[in-house]
Amino acid sequence: MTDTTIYSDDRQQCAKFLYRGSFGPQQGEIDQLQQNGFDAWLNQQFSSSPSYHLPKAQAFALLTNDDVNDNMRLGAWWQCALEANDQLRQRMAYALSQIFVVSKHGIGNRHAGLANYYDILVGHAFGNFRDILEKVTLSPMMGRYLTLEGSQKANPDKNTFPDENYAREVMQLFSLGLWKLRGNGKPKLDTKGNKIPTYTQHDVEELARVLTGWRRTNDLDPMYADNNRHDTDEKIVLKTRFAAGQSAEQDLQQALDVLFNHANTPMFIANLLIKRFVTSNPRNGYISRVAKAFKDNGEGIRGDLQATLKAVLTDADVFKGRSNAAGNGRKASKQHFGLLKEPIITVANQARALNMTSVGERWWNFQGTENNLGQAPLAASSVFNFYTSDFAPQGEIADLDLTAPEFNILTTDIMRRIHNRFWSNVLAYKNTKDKHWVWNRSEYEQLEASPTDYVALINERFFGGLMSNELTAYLTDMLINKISPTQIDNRIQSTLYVAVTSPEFFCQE
Amino acid sequence: MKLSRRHFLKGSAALSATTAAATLPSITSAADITTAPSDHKALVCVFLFGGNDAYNMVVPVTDNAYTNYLAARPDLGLKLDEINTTGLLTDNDIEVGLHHAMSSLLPLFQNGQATALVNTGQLIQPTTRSLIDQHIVELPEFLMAHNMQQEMWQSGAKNLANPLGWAGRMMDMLGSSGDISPLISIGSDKKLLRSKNANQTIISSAGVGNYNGMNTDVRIDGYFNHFTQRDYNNLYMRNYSDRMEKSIAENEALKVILDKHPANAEYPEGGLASQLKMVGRLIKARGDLTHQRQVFFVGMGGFDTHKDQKVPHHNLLAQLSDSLAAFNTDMENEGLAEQVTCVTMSDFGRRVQANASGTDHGWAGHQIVTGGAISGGKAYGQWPDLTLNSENDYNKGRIIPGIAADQVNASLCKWFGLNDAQILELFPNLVHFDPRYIDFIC
Repeated sequence: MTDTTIYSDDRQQCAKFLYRGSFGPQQGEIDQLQQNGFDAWLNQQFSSSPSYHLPKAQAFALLTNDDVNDNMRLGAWWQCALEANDQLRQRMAYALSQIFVVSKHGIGNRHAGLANYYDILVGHAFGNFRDILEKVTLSPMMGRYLTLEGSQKANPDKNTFPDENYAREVMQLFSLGLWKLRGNGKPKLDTKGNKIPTYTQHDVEELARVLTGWRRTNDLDPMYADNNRHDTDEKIVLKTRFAAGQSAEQDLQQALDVLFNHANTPMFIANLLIKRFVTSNPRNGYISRVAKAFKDNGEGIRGDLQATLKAVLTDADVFKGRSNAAGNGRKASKQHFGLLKEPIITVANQARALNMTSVGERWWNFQGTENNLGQAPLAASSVFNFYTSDFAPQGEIADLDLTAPEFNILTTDIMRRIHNRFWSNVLAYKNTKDKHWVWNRSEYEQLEASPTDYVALINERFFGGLMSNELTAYLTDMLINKISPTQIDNRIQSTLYVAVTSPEFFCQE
Repeated sequence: MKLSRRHFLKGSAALSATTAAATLPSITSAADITTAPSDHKALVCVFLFGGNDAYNMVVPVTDNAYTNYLAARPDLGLKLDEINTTGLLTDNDIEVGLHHAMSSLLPLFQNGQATALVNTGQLIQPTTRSLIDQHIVELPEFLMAHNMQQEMWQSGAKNLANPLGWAGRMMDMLGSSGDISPLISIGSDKKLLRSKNANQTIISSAGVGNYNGMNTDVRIDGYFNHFTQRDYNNLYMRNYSDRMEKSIAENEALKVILDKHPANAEYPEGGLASQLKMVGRLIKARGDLTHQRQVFFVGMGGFDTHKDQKVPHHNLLAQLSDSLAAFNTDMENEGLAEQVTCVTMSDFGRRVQANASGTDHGWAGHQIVTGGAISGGKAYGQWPDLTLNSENDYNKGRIIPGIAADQVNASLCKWFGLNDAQILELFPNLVHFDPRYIDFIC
């Protein structure tokens, strides 16, 4: 483990750390982190009590005696992202929701169930991977989404077979991945140079048999076993024998153990988490160190997500800002470090910088999240999430054989819509309607006549002090030379708009 | 495509669209629709995401074949009165019909402007059950995995490692014209359209809109400054600033084009129909876009029907049929039917033997092709033997394709104007197939 105290003395490192571990630093947080160090911050986050989403959404619903709907679920999500103290837990839950994907597109309007599913991820964000895998597998929402619910043993009379959906995706997307990985996360290759599949179609069929017999009571409680529907004959999955006569529960426990203990799982999950928090292009060593923490937390325990996440956030490569150089040397290694932020995280950054809050008691989905940002929690278009982890936009990044998954969201249309949200949020200081969010601009009014101090405020709130000299100079020049001192609205609105539409606001180094 | 800050100012909300047109270099005259290029052709790929249960879309009605079909899926199989007969025979003389949800497409099947390519899918070489058992054929990688198979339809069976798509590579060979790329995705980036020379155009089916913050000089200046006056060392910032520039330029250019070609045709409700409606507008705008060849990607999801399949699949097929029918009518009314071809693609077909109430991932499926260039009047391909462990059965009703997806793609490329050598460069494994092309289009 890196000696993190060396880096926590560095204020810039503290700012970068908080952009990774929270939905954006707020006033005073960077200094506090610098004072106390990363370990103290991590320990405080690891021990903070979870902010759950379903109770918030239910409270919103109660205000109007309605059922929980999409808007309430997202209102709860935003309130937690912007106001909750368990920021790292909320970030981790959101990252996990992009691995264990369940989506309203496929489940329909069961938003209490969806919020409850999200709360599994909130509750277990710092727990053990094996527990999450089990909770997710037995969740009635996952049961509906990947149709494990109701899957039953083959029926020769009707010529029907067990449903292979969950069996396939739990291997491809939630644990092993499609091909065998080396310890550093790179694919193993056969003698012809081809990737080696981790499982065969036969494994999928056998695992589908293993997982037969689960049914659902409602949208909230875990599924229960109906052993009359369970295939109790012997099965072989990934060379492991499942003895004849085992119950649905016994088979399920054994299957999850096999997936959890599979050689691929640590690297597969390490890579996905690194990409959600730190960089789109981790070096081999970084992946293998995080995988190592997954394999053993130092106390002989596998799958400890607290240890895994700590390894993700405090690896030496993170503080040194090193990434996959794509064969282009040290300078490229630094330039490839970081990521394009997800639109929803960028907007959360803006809202936290402005200290936005809901006008009314209920938080509404003021951002029009899915329409405007091209993504929303538990609303991916398929189980393959908003992007695949190896997506590369065409041009330089694809040519270098690097990845930048988040670019998949940024279409011509979504780019414009995001920037329009940025603009609406800038103007939101005027808002008075219950459904809207609002912020207080007095701090900006007090400083706009002193360009240097004013731009320093923007730098601190929106960039954690990391703003480039070029942008600092540009914003300062706007106030000195481009907008008359009498146009206070224009000075504040225009500088904030230009600041948040800058590439450095949308990217994380 | 570049858009200067000055041009944006002139073209932005303050001025009418007509005035704006004059400021964009690519468009010569705002008043007249530019004359359409001669020899125009457009290919529209309709992707059915999730793996369409094609064995319930195109169904055999000839006695034996129907009996085998119903024996394979006694519950889920269509009853005879749920099948629209087309009168079309496959190469082995099996008559095929369509799911009754698709009656809106029947007229096209009956007048020769639509047909089915039966038992198509990813293949590297001709393949049968015994050849697989003898381990003497190479199989496509990662069969039955959604994402890999979706990609394979877009890249070619042996081209997964190629970062470009076959239609993008095709346009590189043909050469494309116009500031707006003729490789157009309605929705999001698609591998099919990735080309070396022309970044695909990505447009929402809702069209384009305004940048609300960009209504003063100072904000427009500040915004443009991000990509015109700055260099970024960081990979992501550099590419993001490029994306900002491309997005606003494309938005403004398309605004002018779409204002000149308003939506004027009747389409049903629904996502696919809205996408095809936008495709129709952009085909009508081919003159202003200076596109002699256009490739469009549209799609709809929901086809991963593992469970409770009957009603949703019915609705999906109805939507597919109604949307394609409306699009073909639109093209017909414009006199464009001969030059516009639609082809469906899907991850894979689904297993013929069913689950309790749905179907699982399979291999071969059937594709629908529509348009005036289609040689209809028959269905293409051999109807396979659906009995378990037949030469066509890979495993438990996952049927081995008889026609390679690459043969279908190659036939479309030939129609588009590529020569045999160019096509072989795109799909090198075609050497294994005789014939290389399927003559459903000419």
